[in-house]
Amino acid sequence: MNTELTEEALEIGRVVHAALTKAGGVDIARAVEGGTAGPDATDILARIGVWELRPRESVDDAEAAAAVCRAAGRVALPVPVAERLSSAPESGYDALAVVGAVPRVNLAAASSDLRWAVIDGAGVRSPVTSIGPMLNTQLGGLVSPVEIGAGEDDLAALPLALTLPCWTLLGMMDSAMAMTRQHLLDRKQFGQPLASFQALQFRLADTATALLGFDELAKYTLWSVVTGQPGALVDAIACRLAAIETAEILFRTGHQMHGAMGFCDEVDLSWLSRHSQPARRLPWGKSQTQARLLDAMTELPFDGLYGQGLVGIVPTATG
Amino acid sequence: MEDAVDFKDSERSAALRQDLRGLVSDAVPETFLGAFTSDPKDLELAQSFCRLLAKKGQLTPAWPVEYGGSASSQWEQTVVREEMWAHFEPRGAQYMGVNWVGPAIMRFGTDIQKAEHLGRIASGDVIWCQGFSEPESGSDLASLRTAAIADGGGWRIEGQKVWTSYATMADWCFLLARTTRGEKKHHGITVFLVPMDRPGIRVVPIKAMVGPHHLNEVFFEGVKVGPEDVLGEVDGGWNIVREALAFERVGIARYARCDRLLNLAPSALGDRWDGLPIELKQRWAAALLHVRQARLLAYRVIEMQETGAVDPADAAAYRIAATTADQEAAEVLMDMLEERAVGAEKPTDLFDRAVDDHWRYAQAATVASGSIEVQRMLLSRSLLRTS
Ligand SMILES: Cc1cc2nc3c(=O)[nH]c(=O)nc-3n(C[C@H](O)[C@H](O)[C@H](O)COP(=O)(O)OP(=O)(O)OC[C@H]3O[C@@H](n4cnc5c(N)ncnc54)[C@H](O)[C@@H]3O)c2cc1C
Repeated sequence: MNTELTEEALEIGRVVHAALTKAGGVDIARAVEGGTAGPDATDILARIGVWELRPRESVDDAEAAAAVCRAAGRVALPVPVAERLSSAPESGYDALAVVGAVPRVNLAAASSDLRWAVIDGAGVRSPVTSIGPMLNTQLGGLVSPVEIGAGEDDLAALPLALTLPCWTLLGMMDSAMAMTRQHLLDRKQFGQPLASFQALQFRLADTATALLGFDELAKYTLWSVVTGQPGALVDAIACRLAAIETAEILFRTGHQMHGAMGFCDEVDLSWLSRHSQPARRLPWGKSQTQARLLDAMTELPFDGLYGQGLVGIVPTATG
Repeated sequence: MEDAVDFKDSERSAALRQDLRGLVSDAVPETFLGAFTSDPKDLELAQSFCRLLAKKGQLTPAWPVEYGGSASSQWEQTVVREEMWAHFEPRGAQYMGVNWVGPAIMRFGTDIQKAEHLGRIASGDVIWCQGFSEPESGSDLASLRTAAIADGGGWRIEGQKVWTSYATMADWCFLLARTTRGEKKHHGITVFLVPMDRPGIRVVPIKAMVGPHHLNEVFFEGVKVGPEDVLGEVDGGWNIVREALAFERVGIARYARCDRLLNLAPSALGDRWDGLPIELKQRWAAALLHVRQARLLAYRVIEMQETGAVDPADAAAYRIAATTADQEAAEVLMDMLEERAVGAEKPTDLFDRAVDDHWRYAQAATVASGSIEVQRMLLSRSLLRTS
């Protein structure tokens, strides 16, 4: 049993975080959304060697990739990091996104020079043949509709493509937690810091617990996926469900505790909250993910200490 | 190169798990739902099971060899905890002695105390109870009032404890009493190791929905104790309590029983499973997921225990997740029983009876051994610390 990422993985995460913070942090997203030329974050990551990682081939690279996604999430980096790290350039695609029935891909237009592919919940991978304009909406500003070509079966690519975006969301949640904590310490009402009110302390404790529980699950899932456990796909879907549940808790708490200030563009929380939406709603929202988890459990083992969910159950006559 | 993440049991843990499962299936009948029933045979079974475990060195695997353990890792102690709790704790009341009374005596006891107690705990021969809570002192434990009044070379204990689990069957009590009334309530508390048959101790069982033997009142009426009964320093008991509770960070492996019962549900319900609303099956899947998360949070704390210090805040986060998952699993399982949730049809409906027991005990998960609110205080205090 070893529940910690390697020091090498953590170190590349720290290096990416430092470099992105130096380059402006969430301001990189502000620039991209505002259409002004910001720092070239793709290039910053290239110089750190991020694009050379091969998470599908090596467990060490997978851990490093997860740490990089997390660091990118912390500043809501408008670069398809998880998608690129889920790809297989030798198979002809540089970025892979999981899509639902109507394919929409976050950050596709912002990195339109890449050879994009999408994969659906059944594991059918298709090349993206054209990328539509960005939606320019508040909650999916950098999302584009895409058109796709004929698909082929590539179920093996699905678990990682579901898991790495969970790590990006994890990074977003890390930041939401840190900002919320700081706000509770800084903001005074009734003559005292918000941090002194038990109702807020308790909610913060529950929120932190949710985040820690998701953090551990993300590592477990990464292990299951990169070591090819029989339940890798069901684990990845479960991880996605937990990511959605936890993000809801984190951002709800963050917004509530920030008061009106938290909705302002000036405040990073507002950016993280908006930019977390594509990962939370695409390819499937909470109910769809829940339904898919139960479905997947009928065929794949969801390993626990005392069973595998629905696998291995003697089928009973339908009543 | 450092090791990558790995969530598999080590070979030793896996072998121990197999071994314990074999032992349980040989020695514990399927109908066993814990030692604390109105049938004294259940307690007898637990006592003999403990001695069996002890003989195999599996009651206190993580203890040092000199005290009757086998110096195994915390991971192996965890396997024991999981397997036992999942099978309705056939160790009976042992986990207190094994998990924190023993370690506290190792850390603070005199050589005589170590010789007297540690071997007996490790061999499963003795039951301990915890005399902490009082009628007026629950979450605010340090406000306790049971008095140790100086008397000759020793003290006379006067006062009352309450909610004392296993007091009717216990041989010894890990008792907190006030030796000095100081300015601060944390000062002046002393730990006494008191045999339960000492004159002046009176135990009154409390009937309760969690089942018999879990809750009792214990009255101390002029109970004589001497310096030889003191653990650690006179007036220095609060430190021991803090450290003793630190040994007990992970506590009961509640998630293990949830895991087992949730996994049993589809086959135990048979045809009825197919007729359940899809929404309920989804809640079942989500409960399995949350139980997995609670287990992983336990492992996080155990890893810290193995490599050094555990921050009480991390243990608190685990406790919050584990106790709420326990209650979530209990609600899902009860819902799945439909009309049988209010009573099994036949005594042989083992799954129904297990769920009933689990639900009742889960209600106390967020109160017993430090309520969820106290855990939230610990965690938020650490999160909001500024230095
Ligand atoms: C099954 C079971 C077994 C037990 N076994 C033992 C045992 O063997 N030995 C022993 O000594 N004790 C035992 N206890 C007692 C247990 O430790 C106490 O129940 C627990 O510490 C809470 O104390 P209380 O019940 O007096 O509740 P109270 O302290 O009165 O609290 C009632 C409620 O108010 C909340 N509350 C209290 N103060 C605050 C605050 N400042 N802010 C916010 N909320 C607050 C609590 O969290 C709780 O929800 C057991 C309890 C149970 C349920």
